[in-house]
Amino acid sequence: MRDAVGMMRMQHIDRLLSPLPRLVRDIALELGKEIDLCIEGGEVEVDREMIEALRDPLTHILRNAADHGLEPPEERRLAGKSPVGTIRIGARQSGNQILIEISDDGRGINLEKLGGRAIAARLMTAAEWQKMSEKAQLATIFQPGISTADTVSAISGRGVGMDVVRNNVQAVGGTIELENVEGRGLKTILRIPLTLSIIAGLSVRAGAQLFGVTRNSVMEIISASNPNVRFEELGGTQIASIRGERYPYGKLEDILGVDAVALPGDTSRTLIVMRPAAGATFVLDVAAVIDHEELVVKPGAPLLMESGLYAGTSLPDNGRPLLLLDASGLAQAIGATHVDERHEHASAPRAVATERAASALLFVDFAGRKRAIRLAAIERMEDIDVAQIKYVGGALRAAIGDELTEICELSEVPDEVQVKLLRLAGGKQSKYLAVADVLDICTIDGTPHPSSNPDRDEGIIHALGEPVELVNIFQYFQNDITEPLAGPEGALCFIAARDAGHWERGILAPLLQASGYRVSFDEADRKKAGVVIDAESSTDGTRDDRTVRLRDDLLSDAADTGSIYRYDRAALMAAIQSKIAGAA
Amino acid sequence: MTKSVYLLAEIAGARVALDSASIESVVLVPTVFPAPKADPSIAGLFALRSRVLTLIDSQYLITGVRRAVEKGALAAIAEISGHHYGLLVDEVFDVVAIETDAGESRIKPASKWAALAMQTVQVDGKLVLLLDLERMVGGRQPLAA
Repeated sequence: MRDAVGMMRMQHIDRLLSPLPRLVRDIALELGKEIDLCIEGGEVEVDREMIEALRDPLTHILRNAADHGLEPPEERRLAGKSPVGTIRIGARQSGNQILIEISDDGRGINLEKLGGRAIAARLMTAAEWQKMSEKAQLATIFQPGISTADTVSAISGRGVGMDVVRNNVQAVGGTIELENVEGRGLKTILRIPLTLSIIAGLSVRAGAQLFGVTRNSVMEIISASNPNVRFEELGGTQIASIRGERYPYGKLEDILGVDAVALPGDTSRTLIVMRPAAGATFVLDVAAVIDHEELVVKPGAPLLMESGLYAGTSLPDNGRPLLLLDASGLAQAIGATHVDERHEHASAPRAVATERAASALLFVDFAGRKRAIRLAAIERMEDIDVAQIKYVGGALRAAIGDELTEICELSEVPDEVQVKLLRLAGGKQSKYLAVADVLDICTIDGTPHPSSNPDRDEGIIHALGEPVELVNIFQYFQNDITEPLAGPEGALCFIAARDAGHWERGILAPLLQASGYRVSFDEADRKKAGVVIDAESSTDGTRDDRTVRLRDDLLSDAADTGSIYRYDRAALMAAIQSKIAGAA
Repeated sequence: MTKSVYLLAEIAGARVALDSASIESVVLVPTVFPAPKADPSIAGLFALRSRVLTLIDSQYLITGVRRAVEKGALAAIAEISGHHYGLLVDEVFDVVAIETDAGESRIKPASKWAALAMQTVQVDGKLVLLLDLERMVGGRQPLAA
């Protein structure tokens, strides 16, 4: 339902871009410039509300490009450029973001001039300006009250500047970036989330209040009491190191200036490793992570967004307004900002490095014992209503949709509403592992100590300061009798049915089919069948080494003739298998 | 001569008029949730008819003193530049038509009101401050020295 609603909300970005040629034509006429506008990617889909939110910023950037960016024709000729200026607008989808690039081949931003304006506006001193990186200098264009325009025109330069543009873009959860080549042009890159309306969010608690964070900025959630977490302080900067990796650290209560409140039931605080769109990866310390849910996010009032900490507001099902925290804003509040782009690339191999040490999930089983299971074996964790659990086919199974999945380590349907199940990936098949509670994630340091029961436990590891059994995952999959015995192609069995063949059709055929064989009663198939099943008493037809003969009595004089009692399933199956193996 | 309909209310002990074109209703605010680190003129957030509204502490805008906001406080609901707000008021009197051209040009709003009030007008023989709603949601302006 929500997907359908989401689909309806999506519209081609062309709706935003198509009025632009006319706008540029008007501007060009007014300024006496010739402008060539190229638009690409009009088919990219964006949330309808996003289109409305981007209309103003995009128009503004375009006006800037036409007015300040592109030089008058004579100046362009002198600079060796074509007298016709070019502005390109390209939109494309990149992951869960939309990239809109607006580039012109004008004069670019004169940093010296920008610096002069910034100093004149007393935003900084000349000395401070000199010390800034080029990127930081360029970013001052986003400060309120800065303009490089020499004159105020009807088009731009009226003080409603790039700061407003940036605010507008940020209000919908986007970022803005500039690439400036002086004398050659300016490229403005807008990155905006695919959809404004519905995001996957986590609700976290600070003090007694709940806040939301977007799940795609969350890299990891870890308990603050985890032995893999250490805290350091250096000259007032707080640092959290998780498995030896150091991150800037901030407590959400401190950032928001609210009192920390311990509610009953709080065991340990929770750390969230967050990677913001802008800024360095950092660790956010929250009182608790409450829930994950889909949040319908609306931009907040401008005054509310001014603080930079919030990305919007949402009204979850409980009817209590939720402020959505902005990961980039939090990074800035913590001071995790000074990071250049190279760092972001550097973080990719680092993520691989942390994976080298295998992780395990600690849980409590229904016998009340703490155990661990390799994290890599777990597909996901699910809460399943006990009503969906049935004792069928000799095991407890969860019936979800059309799927029937065996539940391991659960002896009876527990007397609860829901059961926590870990979904184990086993190639084509999945199984559930029932757990009473999930405790934590830890790293498996070194080789586990050998277990005296290796079928059940892979070994013993140290976690939470005590030895814990590491579950051997193979036990759940290796003795899987539901696995078809025959090859994937399904060998053909011909059954020579006697009389009406009720027993053969009603009992033998389903048994063979359940084991993966194809069954035929058609005499024409007798020749190509891998196995021919015939009655011991049968006299018609040829008997060759493909034939398995069945007899009606358990004990018979004919036992030595090599026939098999027809209810001796094990012997029958073994015989069929050996015949097929022999034929192959 | 232009005549518009205004909501007469009291904020920080003064009679004010709010343009009813932007005012949706007057409500008793439900539970207010704080918005930490936001502008001090924001008293918090509250939910009304499946929307999240920003509650503006009108008194703070005038006096610089934040008012304790409880459930049941009186607020005028307004849509200003596409966003919905609750503007805290002490009391609501009436809805009246005011001739905005007939302002009392000699009586200027006091300096602490200057950032919010456009002019003073007369209603039933009493002076009323005509407020600019846009300015009410822009934070507290520093007083001119």
